[in-house]
Amino acid sequence: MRVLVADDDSVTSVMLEYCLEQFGYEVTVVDNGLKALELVRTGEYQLVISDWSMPKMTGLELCRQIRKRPSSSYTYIILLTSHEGTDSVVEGLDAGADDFITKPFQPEELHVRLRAGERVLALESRDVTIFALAKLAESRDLETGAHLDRIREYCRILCENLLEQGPYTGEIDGDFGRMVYLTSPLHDIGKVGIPDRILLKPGKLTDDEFEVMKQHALIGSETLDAALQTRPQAQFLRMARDIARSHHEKFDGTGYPFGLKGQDIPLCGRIVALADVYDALTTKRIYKPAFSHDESRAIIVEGSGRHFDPAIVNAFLETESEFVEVRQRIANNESPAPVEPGYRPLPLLPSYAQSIGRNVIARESVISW
Amino acid sequence: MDFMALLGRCLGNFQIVERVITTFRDTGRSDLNQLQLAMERGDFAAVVEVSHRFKGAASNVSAVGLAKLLIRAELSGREQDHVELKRILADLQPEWEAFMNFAQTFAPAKTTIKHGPVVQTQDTSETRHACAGC
Repeated sequence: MRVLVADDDSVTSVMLEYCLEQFGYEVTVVDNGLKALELVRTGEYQLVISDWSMPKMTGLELCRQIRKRPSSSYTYIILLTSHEGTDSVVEGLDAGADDFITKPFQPEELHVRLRAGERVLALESRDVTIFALAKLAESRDLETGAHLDRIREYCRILCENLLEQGPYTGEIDGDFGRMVYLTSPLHDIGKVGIPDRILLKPGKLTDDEFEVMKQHALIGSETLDAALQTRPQAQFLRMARDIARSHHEKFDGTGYPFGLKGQDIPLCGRIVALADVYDALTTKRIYKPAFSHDESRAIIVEGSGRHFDPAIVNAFLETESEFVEVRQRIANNESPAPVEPGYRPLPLLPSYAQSIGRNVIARESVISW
Repeated sequence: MDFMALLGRCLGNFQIVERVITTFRDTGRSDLNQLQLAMERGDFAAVVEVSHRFKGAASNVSAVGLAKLLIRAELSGREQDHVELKRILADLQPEWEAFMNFAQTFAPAKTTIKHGPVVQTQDTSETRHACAGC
C-alpha cells in the first residue's frame, strides 16, 4: 500500500521512509503541504503521514483541504507532531486528522497506527465492494431490491437470537452478525453467469435447465473466491463466498452443489438458507402466490433437520413475529401475502405441509431460491 | 545522545543511522544558523518556527540535550524573551558541538571549514535535499 509522507524535516523523512519501507509500504516523501495535496488529488494515496508545521501549507491546512475536496475514497491522515496537549489534539482532529504520532516517533507505534488506518480504509472498500456486487446481483435477479433487504434483515434477526440463545455462541459474535448482514445480499451473485433463457424463463425448468441453474452457487463462490485470492485478509469476501456456495445445501446432505451435511455446511450458509426460503415462500412468484406466514412457517418447521438446521429453525420460531414485522415493513411493489393487524403466531399444524403439496413446492422453490 | 534509541528508531540498521546523522549534521547546522540570525533580527516568529522544526529533528535523532534546549528556545520565542533566548543560544552551541563529536563516531564528517560561530561543511542544501529523498 502507498503512503505519502509530508515533512519538511529531512531527518524525520529519512527515518520514516526507511521504517515504512521495512513495513512493506510504498513510500513517497514530499517536503511541504502543497505538494502533498497535489499528490492526494491524484487519488493514488489513501494513507498520509503529515508533519504539523510545514512551509507553504501546514499539516492542519492540508487536513482541511483534503476533507474539503469531494472524493470517491477516504484519505486516512496521521499528523506527526511535536505539539503536545489536549488543545493540539482537538485542533488536529477538528481539522480532519484521524490520528497522531508524536516526535520522537516509535516505529512499532507507527506500524500499529498505520494498520489501524488500513483497517478503516478496508472497511470503506468493503462496503463499496459489497454495494457494487449487490447491485450487480440485483440486476440479474428476478426479485427486487426489497428481497435483498429482507434477506439481510432476517439474517440479522436470526444471528441476534442465536447469539443470545445458542447453541452457536462460540461462533457468532457481533462481527459475525454484521458480516452476514452485509454479505447475505450477495448469495445469488452467481446468477450473473446463468443464461437469460433459463434465468428469465417464466415456466418450470427442465431437468437440464435446472442443472444449469444450480451452477449459480458455484459461479458465485468461484467469483468471490477469485477476489479473495487477491485480498486473503478480507473476511467479508470469505463469508460472501461461503454464503454463495452453501446457501442451497441442505442439512440432511441432499442440497447442492456439494451435498454438504449438518455442521459441514458453513453456519452463515445455513442461516441464509432459511432466510432465503422464508422470503421466497412469503412473496409472490411467477409460478406461485405469496404464502402466508403460517403456511411458510409450517414448511420451514417441516424442513427442520432435513432442509434446515434445527437450531436455526428454533431461532426462527422464537423470532417469527420479527420476521412478520420485516415482511410488512419491507414490501415489494406487489403486495405480499396479507398479514392481519396484531398478528400472533399460530400453533403449527403438523400435516399442513403435506396438505399444500410440499414436494411440488420444494421443487419449484429450488428454481427461485 | 541516546544512541540505542536512535538505533531502535532506525530498526537496528547502522547505515540508516549514519544517513540520519549525516542529514542532521546539515539540517541542524542550517537551523542553528537560522536561529542565530532570527534572534539577532528579533524575529520571534522565525525563532519559534526554526526551534520547533529543529526540536523535532533533534528528538528523532535522540539528541536529548539539544531537544531540551530547543524546547526552551521555542518557549522563549513565544514569550519574546530575548535575554533568555540569548542564554539558550549560548548553551546550544557547545551542545551542538558535543553532539557532533559524539556523532563523528558513527558518521564521520567530511572536511570542515569554520564559518562564524557554527561549524559548516561544504555540503549544500542540495545535499540535504538529496538525503531527504534517498
